[in-house]
Amino acid sequence: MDADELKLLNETLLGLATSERDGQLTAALDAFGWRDVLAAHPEEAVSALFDAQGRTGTWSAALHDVLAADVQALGIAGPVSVILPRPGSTRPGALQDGKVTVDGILLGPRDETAMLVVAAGSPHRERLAVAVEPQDLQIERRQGLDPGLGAYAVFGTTGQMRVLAKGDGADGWWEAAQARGRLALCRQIVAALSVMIEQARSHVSERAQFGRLVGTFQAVRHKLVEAHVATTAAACSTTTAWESDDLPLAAATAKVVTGQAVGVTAANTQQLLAGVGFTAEHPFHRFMKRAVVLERMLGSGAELAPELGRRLVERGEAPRLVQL
Amino acid sequence: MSGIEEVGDFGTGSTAAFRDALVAWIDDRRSELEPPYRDHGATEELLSHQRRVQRLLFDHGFMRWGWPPEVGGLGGSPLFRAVLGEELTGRGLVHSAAFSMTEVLGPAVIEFADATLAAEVVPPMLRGDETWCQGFSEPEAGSDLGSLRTTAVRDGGAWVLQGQKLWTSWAHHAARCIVLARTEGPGTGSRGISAFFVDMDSPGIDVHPLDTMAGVDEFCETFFDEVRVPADRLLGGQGQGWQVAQHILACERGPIFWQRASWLLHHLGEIADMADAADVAANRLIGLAFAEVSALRARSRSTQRQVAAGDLRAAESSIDKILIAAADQAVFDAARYVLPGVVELDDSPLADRYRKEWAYSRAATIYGGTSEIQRDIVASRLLNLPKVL
Repeated sequence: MDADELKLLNETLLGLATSERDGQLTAALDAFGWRDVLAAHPEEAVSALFDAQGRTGTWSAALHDVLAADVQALGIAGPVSVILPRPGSTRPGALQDGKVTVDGILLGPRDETAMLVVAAGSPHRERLAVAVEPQDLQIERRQGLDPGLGAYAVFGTTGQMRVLAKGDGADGWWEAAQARGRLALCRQIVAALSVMIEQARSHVSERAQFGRLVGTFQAVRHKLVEAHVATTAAACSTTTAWESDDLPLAAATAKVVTGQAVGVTAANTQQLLAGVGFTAEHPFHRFMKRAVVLERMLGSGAELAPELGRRLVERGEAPRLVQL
Repeated sequence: MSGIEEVGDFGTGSTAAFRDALVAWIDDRRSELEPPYRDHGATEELLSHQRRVQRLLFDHGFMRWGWPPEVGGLGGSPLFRAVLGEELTGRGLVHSAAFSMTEVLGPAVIEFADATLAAEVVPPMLRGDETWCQGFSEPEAGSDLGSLRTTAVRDGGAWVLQGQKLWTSWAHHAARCIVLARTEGPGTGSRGISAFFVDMDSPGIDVHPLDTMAGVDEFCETFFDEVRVPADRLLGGQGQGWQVAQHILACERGPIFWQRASWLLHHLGEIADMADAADVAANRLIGLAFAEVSALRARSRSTQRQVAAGDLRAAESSIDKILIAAADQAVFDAARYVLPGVVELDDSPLADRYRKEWAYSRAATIYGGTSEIQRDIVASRLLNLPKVL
């Protein structure tokens, strides 16, 4: 993809994210052919769309498409929905006696499509990636902290499942899918954090107290810089992760760096926006809640940091993710 | 010059080709390149090993690639210099701080010295014949460098320096020093400062080493008492000292940061190798430190490319400085946890090494411009926050 094509892609997706009403973005993306672009240029497609969603505070079914980008290789035609693990767990499904018990989350699912689940269980630490049909499970809407994400809890036990991959094949698929999904989430989170930083920057540049603009106080300036530095680190980690020979490790690392950025930026920008940022009227809280909820999905920074360390300890080395 | 042919011609080559040749060369003579000490090394040992390695690298061409031919270099991309530092510090073959010297001061002399002077003094510095030092900070001028008091007064064909410098790293082993001095009266701030290239054996220079809290005699108090410096040793023009200093600080964020990040990964890998995979708290600290170093590398990569292209963005590189200082401390804090009691209570070579590195990392948020000054720069120049009156 050359520079002009990339610019056009970015502008088109930002235009769609800006103009489509809630719930309509998925249909607009399908009409645009987003999944074809994703198949041909995963990095550019993910970066453009999730940046646009982050900047505009919108959401679509695109995360499912990203997770299921290589789903044809598993012998199933898309589009599908992919059930996410609940925050705090690593797989949404458990296997027992030839049945799968699902306890997971759907964010903005596609209607009437098969749902992919990764599951593990007995016997012999069996691991599977399976497709189940929506009617075989219970699906309940959850408003949660950020109703705009269209979250659903999915749960229940069914023997009606089609096995798509087993053992290392299932693990390998899920690891690659999660890496792409994490980078998509990081991209959207970074864009949302950038909006929050700009909101705070604009506020402290106009608001006066004690006869001076609050943005002239060093305590205020340094808080905003800390947010900017942490978010810049997350942006750089996310962008360069796509080049890495070890995409799962690079994506997990980007998610940890992004998790740190969410912690610092959510706290500092909220503090700087002070009273006005605490109102429902100011748009700040929508971006902050979105960043906070997405940070919890596919492994939060707090969960992934020890996991990252464990991988390094097992390898006995700290690899270079980015090359000169 | 012997041996250049054996490493190939990288004048138009890629960094990958340079790296491959370098790594093969290092593998071939690994035992020759290993430091002779297993602990941190005393300053003399460390610098003498550094000189020996630099001489080898120079004679085989590696130390010359990426530097201009006018100063004894072989040309090619300046990124080669970042690769060289990365591969050496990444194996612990040279000490990151000692390997920084050429990059701190070399580029500024090339940029600001008279061409004849640069051609005379840079090659012995690259070859490891001489160590140089940086005379910026003073007792009353740390973060507020513009308030420095050392003076330089013109007297015929020379400038006469009078004053005191502080925190001059390795001044007691240095042959030359870049000294910032005031050439206009007090109250002229950064505009009245000039930079001089001074021979350390000039009469009137008195050097007193100071021990750091790491127990290393790394930095010095340096006194200048009527030191005469020939007029052609003025770097840039009169009053251009601030630009020279800014150039040096911006260059520091090039290959030096890249090799420092590699040095940090080397240590993180070493402690990961010693850690217990079942220790979740250790895993967490290692994971967080790895994320910080990796984020720094992700950020620094674009800075490396800009510096190599001669595009120095001082304000933007303040972000790199904030990130590297935090990463440095995170790595050695993790080390102190993962090696329980070693830093605090042992006297083994390993303990000596980690104790001194951990202590040195405490200064990472202070040297080269404190993290607070960097935040001020980012606030004013990148975030465009309102001016502080």
